[in-house]
Amino acid sequence: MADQRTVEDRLRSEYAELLPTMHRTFIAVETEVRHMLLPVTLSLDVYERIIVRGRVKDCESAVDSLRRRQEFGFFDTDRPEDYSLRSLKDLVGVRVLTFPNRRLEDARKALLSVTDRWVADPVTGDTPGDPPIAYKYAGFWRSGDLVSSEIQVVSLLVGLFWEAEHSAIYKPSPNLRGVTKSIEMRRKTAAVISALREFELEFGQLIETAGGTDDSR
Amino acid sequence: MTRMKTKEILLKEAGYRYNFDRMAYVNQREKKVFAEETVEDQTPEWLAERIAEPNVTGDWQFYEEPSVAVRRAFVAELENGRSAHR
Repeated sequence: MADQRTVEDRLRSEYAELLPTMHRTFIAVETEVRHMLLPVTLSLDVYERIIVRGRVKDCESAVDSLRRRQEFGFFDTDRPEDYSLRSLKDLVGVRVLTFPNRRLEDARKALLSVTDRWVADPVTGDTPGDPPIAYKYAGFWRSGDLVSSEIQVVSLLVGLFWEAEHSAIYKPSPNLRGVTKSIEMRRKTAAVISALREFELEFGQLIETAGGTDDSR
Repeated sequence: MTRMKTKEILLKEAGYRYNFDRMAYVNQREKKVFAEETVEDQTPEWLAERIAEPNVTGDWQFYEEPSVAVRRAFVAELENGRSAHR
């Protein structure tokens, strides 16, 4: 008998099959990222931060994320077999948040032994020549892995802005994700990111000029 | 003025609205659709020419034609939108 399930139902079923693998990969990736960052983390000044956060993408987010990547956000119902959640690069994701700006490079370099073998997909700003807003790398933690993982290295303020945006808007209303793609919203988002980066840069420079903070105060 | 800003003005002045669920610019009166990616990839000159050309197909005109099933689903949605706006 022909498979009567919708594309979404097929994908939910695939998700259930992949979930144990995703959890194992997530634990491995997060633990090893923390381990690789340990020398930098131990050298942080009191005001500096390197925070590691990770997650396994939840089922509906994964299905919706794949749908949004299709033509006009539709699954082609004539070709349900074309779709697999394994094509998503971030079923397992680990984000490294850093503060101040100079720690971004330290963290990125500390992860190079892994990320050098992965596909780099930096988040670029709208202004040509600006450094990336975030470094993103996708790849398989081990050669036999079924799912791809993603590691992001991003400044603390920008990363927290993304988290606030995600939990306040997109988590409760995933269909609003397309709003950010509009030309108007892209300009507004670019202005926010630019302001956060300037704040962070200025903050870092002032602290460095002052010679760091005094712990004993 | 940036190229994106120019494109934004072109689309807005020609009566296109952004459909955030489908990530496309839609003109219900002209029955024309530009995918957001197409708008991003093409030049303002290309966009201005396509906006200016009349839709003589008698049907919805997509710049970057989707597959049959996707067209069917999107047109159904657009037609429902048209009747809802009447």
